[in-house]
Amino acid sequence: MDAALEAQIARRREILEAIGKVLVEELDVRLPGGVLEPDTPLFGTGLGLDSLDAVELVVAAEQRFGVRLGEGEVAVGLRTVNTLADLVERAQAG
Amino acid sequence: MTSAILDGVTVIRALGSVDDEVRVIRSSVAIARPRHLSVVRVVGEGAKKTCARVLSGDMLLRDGQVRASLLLDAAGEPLADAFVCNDDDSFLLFTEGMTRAALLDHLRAHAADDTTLEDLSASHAVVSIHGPFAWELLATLEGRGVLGFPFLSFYHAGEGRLIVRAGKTGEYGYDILVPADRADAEVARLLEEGAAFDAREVGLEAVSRCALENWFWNPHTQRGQGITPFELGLRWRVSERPDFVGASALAGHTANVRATAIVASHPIARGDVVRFQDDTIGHVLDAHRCEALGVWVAMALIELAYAYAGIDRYTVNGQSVRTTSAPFVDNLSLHVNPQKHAYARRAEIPFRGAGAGKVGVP
Repeated sequence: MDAALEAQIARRREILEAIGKVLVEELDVRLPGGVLEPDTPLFGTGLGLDSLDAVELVVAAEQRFGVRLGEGEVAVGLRTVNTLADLVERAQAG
Repeated sequence: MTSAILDGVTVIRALGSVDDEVRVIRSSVAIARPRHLSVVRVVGEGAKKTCARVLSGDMLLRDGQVRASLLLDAAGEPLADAFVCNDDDSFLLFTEGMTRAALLDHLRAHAADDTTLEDLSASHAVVSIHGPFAWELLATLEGRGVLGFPFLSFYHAGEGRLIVRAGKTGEYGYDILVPADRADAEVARLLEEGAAFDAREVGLEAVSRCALENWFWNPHTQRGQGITPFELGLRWRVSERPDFVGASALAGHTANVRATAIVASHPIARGDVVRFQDDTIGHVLDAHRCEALGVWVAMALIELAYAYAGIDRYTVNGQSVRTTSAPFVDNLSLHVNPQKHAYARRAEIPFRGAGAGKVGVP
C-alpha cells in the first residue's frame, strides 16, 4: 500500500469511526459483535433504526459533520454508514 | 423463455430480456414465481427452541413479525437465506439455498423435543410481487389496510393465503403464500388487476440482479469455502446467542476480508482477481452489468486493509475499478409515498433515476 492510498483510507476510516461513535453514544445503537460493518442497512433491517433515530441522525450529521440533507436526500443518504460517509466526504471536500 | 435450476428445482430464469424485466421491477410491478423457495412450518412446544438452534439471528419476534436470518453449518458458513415468521408461536421458515431434502434433514437433525415440522413446499406455492407500486396492486386486491403493514411483517389474508411484506430488490415486495392448486389463479389475478400498473411476470434472474444491486445476500452465488457471515458483512443477522448451529465456530472467527461493492466500465465476473498494483487484494464473488447504471457492478471479497469505499486505484483484469457504497442504486420505492402517490400519476414523483447521485466509474 503506498502513502497516498494509506492516507485516503485513513481519512475514510476516521469518518466511519466518527459516525459509528454517533450511532453508539448518541443513538444507543448496539453494533453486532461490536463491529461496524459500513454497508449494513441502518433502517428496516440491519441496525434497525427507527424514524426518531432518523431525526437524531440528520441533526448529528449537520452538527458534527456539516452535512445538510435536502428534501428527498434523507432516505438515500442515510441508507448505510457508508452512504452517510459519502456525504461527509463530499461536505469536507467543499 | 429460459430456465435454471435453483436448489434442485427448475425455475424460470427469464421470460424475455432480463434488462426489460429489471426495468419492470424498478419502475412498476413485477410478478415472480420463486418455485425453489422452501416453506416449513415449525410447530409445537419445542418450535421456538428448534428455530433458535437452526437460525443464527435474534429470535425475539412478536406475533406477525418477520426477521431475516441465516441457516449456518457447523463451520459457521451459510447454508441458506432464511426469513422466519412468528405465527402465533408456530414459526414459518421461508428459505432458499438448500434443496428441500437437505433442509428437512438439517431441521430434523437439530429439532428439539415436541417439535413437528410441516413441509409446506409441496402443498403451497409462493408468488412474489416486486416494484415501487407493488403496494398499490396489493391494495387494489386486498384493500388499503395493507399499506399499514410495516416491512418484515405478515398477515393472514383470505382463502388460505398468507402475505409477507419482505423483498430483496430494494423496491416494495410481498411474498404471497397460497395453496399450490391456486397459484396459477393467483398469478392470473395479479396480472389482470396489474394491467393498470403495467405489471408483468418476470424470471428470477432479474430478481437476483436487483438483489445484488441492493446488496441483499444471494445464497446461490455469494458463498464459498471459508466465507462466513462476517466476511459477507452480515453480522447483523448473527445474534450473540451461543446455542445456534455454527455459533461456536463464529465465536472464534476473525474475518480477514470484507464484501465490498465495486463498479467498473468493463465486464467483470465471479472469480476475477482484484489487485492493487501488483498485489492481489481480493476476488470477485458476484457480478453483472447493471441496466440502470450502464456499468458492471460486483461484490468482491477484499482484504480488510483495502476494503473501503471511494477508491479508484484497484484493478480487475488490468482495468480500473472503483469501490463504492452499497447499495449501488437509488430506488424509486424510497421516493414513493403510498399516502399521496399513485402509478397513474408517477410523473409527479421527484425521482432523478437509479443512478443519480451515485459514485461514478473511473
